[in-house]
Amino acid sequence: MKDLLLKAPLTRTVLLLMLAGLLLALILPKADFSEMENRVLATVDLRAGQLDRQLENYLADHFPFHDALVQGQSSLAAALGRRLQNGVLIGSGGWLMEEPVREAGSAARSGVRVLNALQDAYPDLPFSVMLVPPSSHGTDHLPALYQAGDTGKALAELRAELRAEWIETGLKDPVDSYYYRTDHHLTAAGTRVCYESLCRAWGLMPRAAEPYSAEGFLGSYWSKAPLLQTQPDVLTADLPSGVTLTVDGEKRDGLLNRDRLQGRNKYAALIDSVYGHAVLENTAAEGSLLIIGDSYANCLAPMLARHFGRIDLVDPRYFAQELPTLLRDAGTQRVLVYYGLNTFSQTRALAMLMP
Amino acid sequence: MVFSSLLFLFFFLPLVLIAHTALPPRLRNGFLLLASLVFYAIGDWKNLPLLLALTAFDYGACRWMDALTGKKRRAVMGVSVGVNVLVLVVFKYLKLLVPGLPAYPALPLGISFFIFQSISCLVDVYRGTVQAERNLRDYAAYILLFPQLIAGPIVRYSDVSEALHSRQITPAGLEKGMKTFLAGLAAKVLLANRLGALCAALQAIPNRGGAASWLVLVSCAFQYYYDFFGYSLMAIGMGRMLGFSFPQNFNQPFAATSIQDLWRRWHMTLGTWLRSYIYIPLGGSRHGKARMVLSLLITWTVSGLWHGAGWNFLAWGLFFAVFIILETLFYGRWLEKHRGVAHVYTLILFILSWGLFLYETPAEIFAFAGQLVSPAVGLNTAFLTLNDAFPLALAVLLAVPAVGKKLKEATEKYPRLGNAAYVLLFALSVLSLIRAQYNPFLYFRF
Repeated sequence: MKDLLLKAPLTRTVLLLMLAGLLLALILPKADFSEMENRVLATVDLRAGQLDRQLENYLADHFPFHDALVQGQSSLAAALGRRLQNGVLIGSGGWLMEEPVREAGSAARSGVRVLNALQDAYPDLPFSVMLVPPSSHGTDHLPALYQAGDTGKALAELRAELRAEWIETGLKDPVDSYYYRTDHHLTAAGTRVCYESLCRAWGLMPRAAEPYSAEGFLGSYWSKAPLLQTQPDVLTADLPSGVTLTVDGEKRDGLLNRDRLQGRNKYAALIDSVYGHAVLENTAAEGSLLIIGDSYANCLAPMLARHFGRIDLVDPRYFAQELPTLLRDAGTQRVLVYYGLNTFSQTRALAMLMP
Repeated sequence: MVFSSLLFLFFFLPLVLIAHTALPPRLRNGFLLLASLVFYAIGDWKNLPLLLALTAFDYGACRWMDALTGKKRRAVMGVSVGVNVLVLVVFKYLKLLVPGLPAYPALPLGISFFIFQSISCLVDVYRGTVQAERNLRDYAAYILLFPQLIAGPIVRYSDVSEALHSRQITPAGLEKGMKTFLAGLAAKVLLANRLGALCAALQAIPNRGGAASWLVLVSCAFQYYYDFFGYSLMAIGMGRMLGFSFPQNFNQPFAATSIQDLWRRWHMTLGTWLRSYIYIPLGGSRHGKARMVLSLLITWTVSGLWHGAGWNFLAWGLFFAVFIILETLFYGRWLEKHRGVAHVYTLILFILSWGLFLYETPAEIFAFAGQLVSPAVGLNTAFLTLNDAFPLALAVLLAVPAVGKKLKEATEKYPRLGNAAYVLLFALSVLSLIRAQYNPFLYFRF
C-alpha cells in the first residue's frame, strides 16, 4: 500500500488532509459556545435520533480552526460577488444590514392582537408603541441593484391596526449615525432620537447624556457574515449615574456588565444582554414605567430611567412571571412597547403575556 | 450520510479507502459489504433489514434461475421481478395510488436505484447474458456497494462482475479516481448547492414575473445537472479507487441537439436500463409505428414515475415522450440538418421541463406557466441573480463541451498544477460544507 500511495501524489495528499482533519477534530479541545457566531455549538445526543445529522452538525461546528475557516469562506464569497449571506446584506462602506421588512406578516399581526387585548384588559393604563425600523430602511449603503421596496408599508399597516398610542421614532434619513455598521441595534445617537421623541409625546424634558463608549464591537450582522475586512464599531451608550439594576431577581453592579465587554458582542454588556425581567430604579425620580420589548430597550431604558423611579423591562421570550402580578407589584403607570421592527415581525412571544 | 458531508469526507471515506487498499484481495469484498452496510445504516438503519432480505431473495432467485430452463426459468424471473416491483410500489407509490390511508411506510433510502439494479441482474441472468453470482457475499457487495447504492449510477452486474472477483488497485486508478471524485464533490457543493439556493431565492420572490421565472428554471436545470453529475462523478471516482469501473452517467447534456439526443446524454445508465428492460421488451421500434409509440409512452411513464411519486412526474415523463415521438415520426431528420436551431429547441424544452419537476399540482404548474410570460419584474430579480452570478456563469461555461475538455487537457499537461487545482477544489468544498448554509440531498424521493 505504501508503494501505491507513493506513486499517487494527489490521493496521498488528499487522504493525509482528510486524516489530519479527523485527528485534529478528535484531539483539539471543544468549545460549548461560539463567540463569533453568538450561538451554542452542536452537541450529540445519542437518544435524540437522526444520528448522522447530529454528527454532521457537530463536525461542522467543531471543525479545526472553525472560526477562521468560516471567516475565510464568507470573505471569499463576498469577493466573488455574494452580497447577501445568511440573511445579511453586504453594503457599501463596510455596512452590514438585514433585509427590510416590507409587509406586516402573520407574527406581527398576532402581536398586534395581543397588544390590543392587553389594552382592553387594562383600559386605565396608557399604552404606547414605538417600532424601530432596521438600518436598511432609508440607507444609502444598500448593495448594487438591491431594491428595498416599500419600506413604509409594514409600519403603516401596524400603525393602522394598533389601538395604542403610536409614537414615531423621529429617525430621519440618512441613518449612518443612528445605527451600527455591524449590528442590528441603534447607537446611543439613534436611541437618543427615539428618547427625545418619547419625551415630546409624554411631556418630559430630555436630560443631558452621560456618554459611554467601548471600541472593538462586532455585532449580530457580523456574526452572520463574518468578513475578514470588517472594521469594528464603537459601542455607545448613555449610562446615567444613580440608577440601579436588578436582572431576574439578582442585583447587578451598575448598568453595564463589564465581563461582557471582553467579548466581541459588546452590546451584550448593556443591561446584562438577555433577561426575562429587569428593573431599573432611580430614587431621584418618580413614577413607574413598563417597557415590553427586545434588546433594543437595553439602550433606551437607562435614558428613560432619569424620568421614572422604576422601569420594569420585560422580554416576553424569557419572561416567566404573570404580567398582572408584575403590573400590580410594580405599580405600573405607563406601558411602552419598544421593539425592533424585524423582531416584532417575527416573534410570537408576545402571546406569552396573555393569561 | 451523504458523500458531500464532513462526516463522509473526514471519517468514512479515508478509513474505508485505506483499509480496502491495505487488505489482501480475498478480504476486500467482505470489507466492502460491511462498510456499505454501515454506510446505509447511518442514513437509514430501519430499512436495512428490508434491503438485506431483498438482496438474499434476489440472490436466491438468480441462483435458482441458473439451474432452470424454459417456462420454470421464466416463472422464477417473473415472480422475483414482480416481488421487487411490488416492494417499490408499496414503499414509493402507495400514497399516490391509495391516498387517505392513516399511515404509509417510510421511503427507504435509494430504493429506486437499488430495485432497478436488482431487476437488471435478475433479467440478465434470465436472458443468459450473465451467470448468477455464486457467492452471496459478493452478490451483496455488488448490490449494496456504497458508492452507487443511494444515488446511482445504475450499475449492471456485467459491468462489475470481473472486478468483483479480481480487481487491481493501481496508482493510476487511485489518481484518476480521486480526480473524478474531487471534481464531482466540487460540482455538487460549489455549483449545485449555490444554484439550488439561487433557485429557491428566486422562487420566493412575490409577484415574480417572466424574467425571474425563467431564471428559476435555468438555475433549477443547472442545479439538478451538477447535483446528479457531481454525485455520479463521486460514485465513479470512488468506484475507481476501489478498483471498479462504473459506467459514465452524463455526457454533456446541454450540448444535445434533440430530446432523443438529450436522453442519450442525461442519466445514461437509467436510459440504458429503460431501453433494455422496458422499451425493447415491449417491442421498441421493430413492430411498426403504433407499437413504437405505445412502447415509448409506457417507457416514459415508468421514467417519470421513477423520478417521483407524483402526477407531475408522470406529466414530466410524458412531456419527453411526446417530443421523442414527434422527433421520431416527423422532424428528427430536419433537426439533424439544422443543428443550431436543434440545439436551441432542445435547450428551451429541457429548461421548460423543470417546471413540471418543481411544481406538483396542476394549479401550481399553470400558475407558473402564466408567470413565465408575465412582463412583470419581480423585486430583486437582478440582485439575487448577481448575488450568485459567479457560480451561475461557471455552471454555464463548464457545460460547454470544449471548456471541460480544455480544462482536463490542461490538468494533464501540467500535472503538478493540476493536482494543486484539485486540492484547492477539495479545500473550497470543505470550506463551503463547514458553513453548511445550503446542502440539500435531492435523492430522498428516489
